[in-house]
Amino acid sequence: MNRRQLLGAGTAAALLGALPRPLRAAMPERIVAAGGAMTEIVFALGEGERVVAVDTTSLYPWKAIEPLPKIGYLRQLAVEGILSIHPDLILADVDAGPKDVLDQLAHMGARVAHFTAEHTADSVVPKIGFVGAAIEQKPAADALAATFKADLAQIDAEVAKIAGHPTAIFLIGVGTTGLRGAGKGTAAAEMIARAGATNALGDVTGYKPASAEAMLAANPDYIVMMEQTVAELGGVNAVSMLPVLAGLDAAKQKRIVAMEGNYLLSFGPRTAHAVRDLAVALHPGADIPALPPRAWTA
Amino acid sequence: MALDRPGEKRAALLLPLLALGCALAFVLSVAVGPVGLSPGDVFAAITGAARDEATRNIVLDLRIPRSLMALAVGAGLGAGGAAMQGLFRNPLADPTLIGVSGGAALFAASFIVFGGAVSFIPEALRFYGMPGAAFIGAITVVLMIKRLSQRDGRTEVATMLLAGIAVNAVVMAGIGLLTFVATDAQLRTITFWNLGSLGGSGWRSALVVAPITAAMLALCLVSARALDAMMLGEREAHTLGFDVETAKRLLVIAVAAGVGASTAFTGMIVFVGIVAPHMVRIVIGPSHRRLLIGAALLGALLILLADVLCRVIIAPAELPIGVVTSLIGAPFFLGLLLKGRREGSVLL
Amino acid sequence: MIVASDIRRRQGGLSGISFAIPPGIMTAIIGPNGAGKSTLLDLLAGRTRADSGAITFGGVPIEDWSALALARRRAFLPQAPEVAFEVRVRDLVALGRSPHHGTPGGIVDAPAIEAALKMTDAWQFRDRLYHRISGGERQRVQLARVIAQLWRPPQAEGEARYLMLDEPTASLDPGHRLAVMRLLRELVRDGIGVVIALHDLNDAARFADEVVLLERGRIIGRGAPQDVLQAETLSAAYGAEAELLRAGDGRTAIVFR
Repeated sequence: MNRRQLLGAGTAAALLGALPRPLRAAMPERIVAAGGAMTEIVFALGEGERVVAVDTTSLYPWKAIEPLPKIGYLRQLAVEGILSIHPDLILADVDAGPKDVLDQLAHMGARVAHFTAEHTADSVVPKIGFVGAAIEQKPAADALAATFKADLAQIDAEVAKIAGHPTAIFLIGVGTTGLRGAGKGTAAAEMIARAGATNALGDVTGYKPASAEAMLAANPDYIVMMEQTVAELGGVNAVSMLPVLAGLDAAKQKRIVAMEGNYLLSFGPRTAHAVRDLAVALHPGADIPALPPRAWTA
Repeated sequence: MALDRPGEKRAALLLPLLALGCALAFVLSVAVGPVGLSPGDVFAAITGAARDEATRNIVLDLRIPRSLMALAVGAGLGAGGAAMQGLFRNPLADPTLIGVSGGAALFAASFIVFGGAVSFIPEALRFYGMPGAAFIGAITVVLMIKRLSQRDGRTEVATMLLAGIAVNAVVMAGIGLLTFVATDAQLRTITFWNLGSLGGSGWRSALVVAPITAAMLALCLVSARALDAMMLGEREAHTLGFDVETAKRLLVIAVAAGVGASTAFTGMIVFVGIVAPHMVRIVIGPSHRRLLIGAALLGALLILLADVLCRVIIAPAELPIGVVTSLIGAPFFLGLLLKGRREGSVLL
Repeated sequence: MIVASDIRRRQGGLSGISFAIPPGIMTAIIGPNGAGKSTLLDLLAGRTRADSGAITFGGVPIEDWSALALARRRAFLPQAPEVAFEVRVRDLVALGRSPHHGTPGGIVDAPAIEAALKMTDAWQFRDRLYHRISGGERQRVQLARVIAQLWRPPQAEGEARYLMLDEPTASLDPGHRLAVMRLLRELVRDGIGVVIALHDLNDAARFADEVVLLERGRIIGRGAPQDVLQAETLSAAYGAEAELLRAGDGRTAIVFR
């Protein structure tokens, strides 16, 4: 980009900034949260009653969320639907979209706070800071971030002490196309690593279809799945008898770990506890002390 | 001299009726949405006396461009379907057959998966990145299918049908490959693209799609008489004095551009391209000048209404429009088919 | 006048075809199956091109004619016409007027369609769907279409017109067959040159002014019916012994043993 373009862009930005933003309020009172972690953080900061609508990936804390209007799947948001809730802040996690819709919301004068760092446990602290700044709860956010950091450090240290490194594989159900295994770069792979196990599918990237042969080649000690997927497939017994899995030691010995999907994968304030729960499941012999219970993990 | 005397009378009724329906559906589409605005509010916003900035924005920058988009997309799908059915002499043909949707889908999926790597696109044009890719894809695949079905400088329509099936299969395999390398997030974006939605519509997209659709409609109308004659077969149409090759080229390119542009911005919207022309033909017969207009109007009406449903039925969330058109279109089409069979219709 | 000089077309097996078709008479192209009747008719109508040789239509090489200009002066009825959509009889006949859109002749569309439908006795089912009428009725409707294409107001002057038909009576019962042949005679009287591929030699003998006998892609006889349709020639062409029976009223009937 040359100098003139830079100048031009600067002028445009200045002009846009000067436009009146009638929906903008100093202290957001009507928050729409798109993304499970976003919702969790607002509730963890004690500001849950300000949340007026959430997306369908927001599942925790369920009791408070259940009666709220749902704005749909976070990748398929609707401009006017969200506007109809009259939000003064839209908290959007990295996956929220489509981009056109977020752009239009901003163009319509809605305040959109879009967190754009990728899903990792290390993104949780900046994510908490981001939400805290957006809803003007900096002190509470700093405290939450500090606590989370300490919890994560503690469980990391505990996991580091464990001698054995079992292999594990995470399987996700995608519609009717069958199961897919989590390779490098996925949220599940990070959780498995944090929990002190080796990802048996570490040589592929992303979610890849799970074939019987690939599964046999990987032959992991543990199979990790979301509770929802296990339930859809008819329970742990049914999963262990699936043709793609039946030959695996993990299936024969029923070493199938089912965890709630959002808890396991959404990288929010509960992530340190999720790492601990997963570590306990993957290392039955090890003695891993529980993390102190927190208000937001209850 | 137009075709079809009884059809003429029915058309004299049906076309204005459809036009009126479209106008009403357009008004409905502007008046109704998840944000509850009174007709007075909407009217005030249109006349420049909006109650507040938000109302003005919702009506002028959201609902009107979206309704315009629905109108254009529906008209394009309807007329495109009518043109393809006439060209292929088959009431089950639609623009999908010549690879418009497949090409658009393949290139859109490629852009979703690899688009992040294309950093040379200036920011101002980023918005047009994926639709642009989809549009180029639609045209490329259509021209490829057309090229494959050429012999001695003539496009063989029957070969084109087969080439279309083969190339579409390759395209689908390509999309399958892309979903393999796609991340979970990209995969979901591709899935939603395939379901179609008018959700992202604004003036930027409406002002691209509407003129292209209008041009497509005009080009199809120019070839309307040739399409009429093609009812007898290409050879007879030529014997009747029509430049069949030019008409074919014109129609294929017009439909590729028109339907390609709307598919590029809205994703795949199925069934309207088959159902709209088919229904209109049943009422007013196969005279293409009126059939094209009727199918365009009915297509626009269907998309406008389907989009209103999408917006309000699960508000504040939105349904993908492809789901609604399939849910309504497929059973309706089936009913039509069965009814036709009962009445001993020779052709569908 | 349509003039063919030494034309050859490998696909269809024609070679060394030279003859002229004067306007305003009925020319019947006869010959056994596979002799090349349809191929020759297509060439004369400008629907296909010869590999070598030349065909002129009104003195101009046929490939130099635009499809539209040609369509205003010659109509063609294929052997098995197909219609893709459910269309009303009248609309189908109206298609015949296509070449005249935008010309001063365009204004005679309605009378042309009416006249054509009445001439072919199809007027009474003009509002019915083409696919719901009988095979014989469909053939009459198709005939009406090509007649409408060439129709001119009575006493109107104009260039010579030609109607070419590929075995139009093949699927008709004797009554309808005769009706069609008589109708074609009427057209000849109106000044239209009729070129017809025929299987029925008796019809050729009775209605044609000139007969072209094809065998294996070559013309083996040409001229007035009574000159060409001789027992010897026919026996050679059809590979079956032909005999001419003379009826009491002086007419002849061709029979094969």
